[in-house]
Amino acid sequence: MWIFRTTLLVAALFMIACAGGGPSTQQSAQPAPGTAAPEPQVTITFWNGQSGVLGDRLNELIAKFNASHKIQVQGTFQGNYDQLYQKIVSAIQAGSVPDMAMVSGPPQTAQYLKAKAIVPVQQFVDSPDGLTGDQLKDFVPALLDDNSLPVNGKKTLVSWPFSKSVALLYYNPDILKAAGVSVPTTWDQLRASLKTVKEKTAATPFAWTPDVYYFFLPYLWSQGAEALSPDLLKAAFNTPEGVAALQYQADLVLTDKTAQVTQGFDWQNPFAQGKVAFAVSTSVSRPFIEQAMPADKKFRVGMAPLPAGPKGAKTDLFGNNLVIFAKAPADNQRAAWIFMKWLTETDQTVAWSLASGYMPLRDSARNAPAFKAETDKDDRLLVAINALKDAHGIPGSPDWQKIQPVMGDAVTKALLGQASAKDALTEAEKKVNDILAGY
Amino acid sequence: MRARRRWREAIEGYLFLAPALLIIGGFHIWPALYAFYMSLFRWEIVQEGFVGLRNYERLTVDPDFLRSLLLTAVYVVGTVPVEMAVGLGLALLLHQRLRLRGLFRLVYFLPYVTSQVAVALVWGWVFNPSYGVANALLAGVGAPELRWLLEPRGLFGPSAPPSLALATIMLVTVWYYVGFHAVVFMAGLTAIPSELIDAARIDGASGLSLFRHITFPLLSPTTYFLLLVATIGVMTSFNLVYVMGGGGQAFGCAGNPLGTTQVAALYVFDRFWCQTQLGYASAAAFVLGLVVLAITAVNGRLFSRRVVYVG
Repeated sequence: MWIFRTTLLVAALFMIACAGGGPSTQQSAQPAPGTAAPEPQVTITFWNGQSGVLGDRLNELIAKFNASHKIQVQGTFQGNYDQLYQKIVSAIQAGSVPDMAMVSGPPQTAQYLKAKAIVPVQQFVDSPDGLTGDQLKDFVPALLDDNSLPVNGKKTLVSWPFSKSVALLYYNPDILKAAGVSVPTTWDQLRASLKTVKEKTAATPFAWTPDVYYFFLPYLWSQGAEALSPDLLKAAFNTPEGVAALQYQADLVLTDKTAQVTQGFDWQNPFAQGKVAFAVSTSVSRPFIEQAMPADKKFRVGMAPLPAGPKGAKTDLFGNNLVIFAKAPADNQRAAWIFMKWLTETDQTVAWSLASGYMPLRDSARNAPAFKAETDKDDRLLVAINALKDAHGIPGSPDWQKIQPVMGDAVTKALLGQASAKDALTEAEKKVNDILAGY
Repeated sequence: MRARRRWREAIEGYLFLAPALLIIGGFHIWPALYAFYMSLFRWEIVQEGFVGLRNYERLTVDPDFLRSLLLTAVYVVGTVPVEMAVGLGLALLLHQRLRLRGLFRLVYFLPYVTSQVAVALVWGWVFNPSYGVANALLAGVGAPELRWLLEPRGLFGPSAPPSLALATIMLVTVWYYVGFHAVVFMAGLTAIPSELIDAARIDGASGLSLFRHITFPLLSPTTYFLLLVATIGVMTSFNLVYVMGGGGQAFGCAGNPLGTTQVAALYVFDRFWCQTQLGYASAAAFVLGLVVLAITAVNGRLFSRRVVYVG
């Protein structure tokens, strides 16, 4: 036993010793204003959360960058988004952060920013290595918004977009045809369609795993309302709009009985087997659904934007953004930015989009020949891209991680009939305001 | 000369102890001390202001923390006695000269040597409300289907713990640990001197009275050991509850649905990793440690006197 323990201990000591010594970096001379200095010859570390096929594709992109640049990027997979986040939080405690990393959205970015662990990307965008106004305009505005947070009261680009997806409505065209309904474009139409499907077919009209992102927020936003106050310091969802957003789902489950509540991704298999008419998920779910389809019962997965409310359609923006850490040496920070910029150039964003199912980040990508060839073959790619203009970022509050489960519980309570929509939201509002007030 | 040898022996002794000491010190004592240090600060991602004991004050009025302690108590009371009783029953059965006794022992012990996460995933599948075996069985006998791990409603009342979700996890917990209890009880049974049993038989004891007056009292060291180990184990158990209680929300963290499976260890995890309140979570962890210590001490006080040692 003690041999085993000693071995473990020696291994641990060895790992600590290895973690201590990183490659040293040289400082380069300051560039003359307006012109970019030569590319620094450094190796940077990039923690990411992309596994499986997507991980392979990302590594191919990194290899392509390394082959044509002095900067060398070392990408390391750190687990799914939750694990990646946990490792970054631990790394910040230990003071041994990577040079750059993926973050799953504005709330995490806001946390890192509050902890002064990252440097806003804006300073690189504005630098000689940066982007011109026209180049910046090529990016989808919703994505730049998603990566902007107030710094000293000024809206600032703090992170950089990379793999982005949106929530969409999935449907089974065969069931819709059998029920004689067309693809709904408003929330009211969706509710009516579900009723018709229930009356006219044996299919489950709608199956989904409800939470704050799947329907509550998009419905709320589609009425022009927000979850938090503009300064992100107060709950703003306990309003007639919020109640309507929650009541809508409660009506589907409790009154119409047209919606089946599932767990995690459990809706996916029944949907792939052709037993469910509608579902909701991000735009990257299609390959997973197609993979789960029985060979003899294939159908063309239908994709549509989320239904619209009085203020149009809105959808949640998912996926990940990139950040640069404050502890990284200046040259490494600059190198990280040069890599990020390269990753989101039209050629690369098209390649990544086609390989991963995430959306291209720039308008010019749509007209790129490689991309057009694909969208001509399959117009469903355009559904997600068109929905991008209606995309709404997750509130960039560093406290969102605490707020989201509270709101999720409000949704669960209302859907179980344990509380009215109003009562559930009133309770959640109090809790959220307590969280935001700090202690 | 002699002093030198003793000195050498001492060094050797410490060298032999060193790996264990380093591991216990590095992975148990130091983190515990550091957790206490962290608990004195407002500490989200990074250390912020010193708050003294305010994190602890806050815990005393935090309904979620108090609920997690209550749920832990429910979890312990609902599993430990059942595990021990069933384990003892099995041990008594398997202690007989049965055919295939070895096979039965193996079968009952098998869950305990299986990874908890794997076990939890498989049971999660069994209790899945959409396609699980449990609901298929219910449907087979015409009973209404249940939501199992997604059901926050209580067994004994709409909001009285345990929720059906927690009760389901308790069932799996019992299933998981029963084999361990059975095997340890069997070892205990083997240690009972057969002459005592024979003597009791000659005096006319048999069946229940033999068990009540001879077997059970003489098993008491084993019973006491299992009670302590099981109570501590269940109070700090994490894997089964975490994996099985993860459902309900696509983006939830720990202790779903509606926090009804958020036992104290999960509360700590949730506040630490999901809500990144590192200081506050450390305070909760420290309190949990103290509670476990206190309950172990009470257990000792209450039961150690009734332990009979033979031999």
